[in-house]
Amino acid sequence: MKFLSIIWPADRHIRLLIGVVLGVVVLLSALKQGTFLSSRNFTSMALQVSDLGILTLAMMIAMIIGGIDLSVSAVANLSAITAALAMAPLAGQGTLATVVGIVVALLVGVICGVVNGVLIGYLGVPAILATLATLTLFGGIATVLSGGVSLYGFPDELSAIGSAAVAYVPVPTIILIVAILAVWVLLNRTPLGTTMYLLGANPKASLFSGVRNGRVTLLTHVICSVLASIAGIVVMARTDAANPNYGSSYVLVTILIVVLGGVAVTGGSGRVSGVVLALIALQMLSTGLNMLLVGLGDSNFFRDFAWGALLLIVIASQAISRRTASRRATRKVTA
Amino acid sequence: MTTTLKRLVRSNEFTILVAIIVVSIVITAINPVFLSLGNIFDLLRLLTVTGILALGVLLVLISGGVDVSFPAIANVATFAAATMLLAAQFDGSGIVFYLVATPIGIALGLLNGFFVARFRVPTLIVTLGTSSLFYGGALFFLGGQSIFSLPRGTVEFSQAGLITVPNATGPGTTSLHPAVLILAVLAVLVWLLLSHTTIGRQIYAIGGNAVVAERAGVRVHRVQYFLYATVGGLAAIGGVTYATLYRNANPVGLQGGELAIIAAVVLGGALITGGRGTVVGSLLGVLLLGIVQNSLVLVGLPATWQQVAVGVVLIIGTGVPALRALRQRRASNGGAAS
Repeated sequence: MKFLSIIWPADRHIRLLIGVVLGVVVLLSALKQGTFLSSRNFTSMALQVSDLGILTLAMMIAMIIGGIDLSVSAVANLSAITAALAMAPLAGQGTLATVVGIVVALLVGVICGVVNGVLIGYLGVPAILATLATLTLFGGIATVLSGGVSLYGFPDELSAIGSAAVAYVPVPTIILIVAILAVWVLLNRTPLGTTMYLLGANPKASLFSGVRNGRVTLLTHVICSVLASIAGIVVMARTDAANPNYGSSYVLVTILIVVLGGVAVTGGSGRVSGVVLALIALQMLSTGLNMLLVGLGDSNFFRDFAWGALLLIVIASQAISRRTASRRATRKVTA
Repeated sequence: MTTTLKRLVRSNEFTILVAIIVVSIVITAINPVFLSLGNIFDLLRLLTVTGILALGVLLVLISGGVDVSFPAIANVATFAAATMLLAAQFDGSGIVFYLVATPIGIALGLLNGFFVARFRVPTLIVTLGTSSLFYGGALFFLGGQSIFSLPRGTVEFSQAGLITVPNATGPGTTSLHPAVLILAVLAVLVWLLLSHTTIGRQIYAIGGNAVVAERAGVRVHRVQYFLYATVGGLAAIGGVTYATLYRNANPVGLQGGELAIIAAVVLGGALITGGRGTVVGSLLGVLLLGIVQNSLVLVGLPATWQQVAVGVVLIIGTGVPALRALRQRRASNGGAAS
């Protein structure tokens, strides 16, 4: 039975996502022979998806507890810029500088997470408002520290993280895979994960069953921001630059992927497998659109248009299926 | 009399007014140019569009929603209208620009209303989606080039001035732009809507508790359609005013400004969870944030600090009321865990 569930998953939503991924692969392989099914294209897609994927995981856990984190990309940028400044005086000692940079970036992530977590979990500021304020603050600090411009010139050891590959799999993708596994373990195999779902589903119920809601919120946001910092390091290693404005449009895309992956917008449910499939599906669609729209105007704009439409369709269909499900449930009770 | 006075002193509007006065005194002490008429006129010109957009944000917040698509609606409605006027080779009154753009804004707002009312999904997610849809659609299908050839009436309006004063520093003059009157009229209209009409009170009711409002006979769907259409219309008026003041219709000119405007309205006492908020408070919030944002250079801080200053103001502005509410809850629970 368990084996069967891999071939034919019970979750209708996940079946749909697998269908979309397979459909895109077949369609593009047929239409763009050679360019789509090349190892170079897959390596480039795997690279592109790595930092976006890590940010998506961060957004996912913030949404599972019924909140949201608009500050993820600001945390990523602030971490990268702080790391860049910490590495600057250590030029010539590449390995040491890289280690210091990574540690500093992760520390910045912890601090940002504590700020978000205290505002939301202990002061009771709504998550959207708190992270809106910290988005501005963290982004502002990043701008001040960098002087508003990109920082360049990092040790080769750091850039190696962005360009090296193990058995054709780029290191950033390996970092993403590790992050996926870690979040899966967190959500499915730890007590904290269980209380996160409970908090998201019903904060009052979780409070009365003895969960310290404030603490769970704080821990969730610390993990969320540390994930964002990791994404910041990956971006820095991959692009060899730390920019205070990088990825501001990622917020929409990460929310889109999380919602597309089946996480309830009100919190309390959602699986890692769904989000990962949604991530793959979106990256494939994005690459596909780029390939198909070559010469037909700016495909980035069309992609924004398509993502918006897709998000609206998904939330509408989720709302409809939720309504039919609850209607079916009522019918069962009355029958 | 004393109770009225007490209520006034305790109100959110009063707190923020005091904050504005304190900040103004500090800035003036460092650089007296701040209080010159020229600087005040410049500030009002900068804040006119923000103020108009803030009125729409206020309506949505009161109803319990969060709308991030209003800059997209403002830009796209304005840009589409300018494209149409250019295609028609129209070169007359600036009012026509408003008359063409506003229905487009209302239509785009109705799309938000449809998703919010029909599917009852969080408005933030809906408007993130429509925002991307509007921007992407406009840029892909209409093209991304700013339109500089606006109708003659619009260009004339952009150069108009109510009062002209010489600059405090250097040669030249600064005028109070009449667009401020558009903001004033709209503010009065929104205030009338909110406090003197049934549908205005119903907006507060669904923001306070949508289920209770529905049981009490409020047709929530209808209110939401009306609300988002109004917000779309306001956004379009703000967008055309922006295009007028800067003399070009730009498809992304206001992009990225949404969060700061929402923050200003929240700073002005509107609850992000709905049910509370006033026009006066919102405009004061816009003014406070505008002063902080635009006066850093006057006090000698580099412009890169602008965002940090705004972030600090936001954290104080949202954290302090939350802390106060928390204390109140603790007190009323007699120290029980909340």
